[in-house]
Amino acid sequence: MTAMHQQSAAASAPSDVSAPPSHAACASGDGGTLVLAAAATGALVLAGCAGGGGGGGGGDDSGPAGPPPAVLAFTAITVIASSTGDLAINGAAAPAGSRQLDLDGSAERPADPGLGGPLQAYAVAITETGAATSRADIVVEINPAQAVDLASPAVARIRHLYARTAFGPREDDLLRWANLPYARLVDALVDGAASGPSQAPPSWAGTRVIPWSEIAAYTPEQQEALNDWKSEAIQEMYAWWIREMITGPQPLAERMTIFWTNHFVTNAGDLFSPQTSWRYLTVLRANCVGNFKDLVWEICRDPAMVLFLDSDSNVKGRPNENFARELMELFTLGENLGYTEADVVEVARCFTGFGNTPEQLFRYRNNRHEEGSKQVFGLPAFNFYDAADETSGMADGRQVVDHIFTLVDGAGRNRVGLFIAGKLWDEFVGGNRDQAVIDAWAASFAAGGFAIAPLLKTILLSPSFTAATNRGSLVRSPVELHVGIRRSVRLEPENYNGLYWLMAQEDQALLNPPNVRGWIGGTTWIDTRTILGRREHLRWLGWEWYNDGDQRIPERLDALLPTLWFAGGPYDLAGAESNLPGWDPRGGRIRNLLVDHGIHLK
Amino acid sequence: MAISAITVRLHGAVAPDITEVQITAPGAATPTVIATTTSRAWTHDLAVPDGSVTIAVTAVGPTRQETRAITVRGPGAGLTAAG
Repeated sequence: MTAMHQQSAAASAPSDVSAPPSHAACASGDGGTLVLAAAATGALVLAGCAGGGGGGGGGDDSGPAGPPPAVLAFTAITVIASSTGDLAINGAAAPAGSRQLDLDGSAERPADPGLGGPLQAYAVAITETGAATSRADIVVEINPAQAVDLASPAVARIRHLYARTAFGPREDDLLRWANLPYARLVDALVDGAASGPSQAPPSWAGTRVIPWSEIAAYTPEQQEALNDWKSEAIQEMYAWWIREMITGPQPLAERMTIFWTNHFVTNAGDLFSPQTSWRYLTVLRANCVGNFKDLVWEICRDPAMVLFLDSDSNVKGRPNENFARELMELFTLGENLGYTEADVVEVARCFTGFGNTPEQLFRYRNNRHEEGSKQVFGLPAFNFYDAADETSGMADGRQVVDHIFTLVDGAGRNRVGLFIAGKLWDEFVGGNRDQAVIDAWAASFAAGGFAIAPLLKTILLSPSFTAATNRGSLVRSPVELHVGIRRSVRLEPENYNGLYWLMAQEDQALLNPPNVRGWIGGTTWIDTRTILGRREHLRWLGWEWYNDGDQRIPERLDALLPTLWFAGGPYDLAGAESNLPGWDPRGGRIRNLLVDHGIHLK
Repeated sequence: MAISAITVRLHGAVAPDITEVQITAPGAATPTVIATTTSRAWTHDLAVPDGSVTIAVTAVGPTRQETRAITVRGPGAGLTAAG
């Protein structure tokens, strides 16, 4: 979806969309308080909340608020030496053989330069005094220039893992894991993805959605104000998520959540209900490496999905097959795999009565549920409907999900396992599928009760994934490209919504896939239009990060940039070193690296 | 007589939200987890080698992690030199 499409989708509020609660709504981004005329439900107060919550304002042009406090600092060095003679350390007597050197910021002992700061070396001379004459000189370096062995196979594998699963590595990712077993890194990445986000939710996240019946009583000015608020809140949600990708500690969680938004597709611009899309995003993120069967059942009852696939109109006597078809075709089994058109109708009957309240919360209504027997996939008929139990018919939907996860193909392979293992192969391994490997992954996925984390670990530890021949062979999505480059050097954009717009221009508007099938990905990310857009946007980034008055990338990272930004290396490193006469060589190199074609690969 | 062994004790501090400090040294299969004091300070002793060694110090918190590198360069074989 293009940004233009996104804007038009956001501007045309469909009749079934929701509105923000009166106490939380914002009319504009100026922070002022606006009281609208009384509506049917009383005065609608649009109190100043332009700043929004969770660190981002409506429209979010604020950017980073300055350097964060030091997470980790070195404060002193104590040198302890053993000798039978008397010792002096840096000229001062050390009768106990030791001396503490505080990094006090003096000329002799400069303070810790901090993360990303320049190399700081502290020289220490240890001498025996008296009759002895021996001496030992040592040097302690903070932020050493060559802390990462770029030629190390371990570093190459770490870089590959981060490029495919976490937008790309940072220097400290390489530092931290270079000496540890690869399996331990995989465990840390996957297990960490179950953690919650680092930011607080937007202030409006849990607020009530105003029913359309109430909105209908608003004046045109009130409705316009509500629509403005919704647009700003949706932008704030985009900014929140991209900020989490760039600065958050669990990049695989965001990466997997993107994957699931492209699997269980909805469209935030079309829904135009920020609270509903936020809830959907939260469900996907919370379950991103959880249990796939549980996630499917969550999605069956997710208000955003209910809205997007018209589940509300799926009622007895008038089944709407939208959700039923996508449940099997796109969510669990694959197109025309293991189900028939008759199954689509029957599954739709099982989900009759699933819908939303006017406030866009999920609700099941038994009086809208098909009362008769249901039969799917040739399995025994069932019917959990009971007129006396108002939630009874929901069990028909649950029975469908349970049945789907038991289906096997002619070779006895679990169909859901095959479908998801194959999609994860495409997502993380790429290239021609090795069906024998996928079969094994599918079998272990099913045997493990469809737990996603163990399957992910199996994939990321497999030779299919780690093979050196598999590196730098896939195309980065626009989000992987822009988030990865910024994350690697810890530089947030000045305007998150501007970054969202750039990525939308390159055909990846987060939370707004182009259709229910999602982005195709792979080489389709690149065409004659998007490659020019990518190059132009990266050229802008080069100027933003490095010009005469603003040199934002720490110089000590210069040697690492090709490692951080390129999975397979630049095509033209020599070209990256060249420059036009009169240009600053460093800035020219950074800009040339950013527009090298190799940067688009992972 | 000669200087027979040298140890560098690193002193540091972490932000209040940091829950763990990990030290990773070459050849270690697992990081060394070191405790922080109530004042958020920590220390770690590092034997100075003949050549050089680089360790990674990682601060781990619920919402952020940061890794810094430290290299210690020893005086060379034998640790002693005529002064």
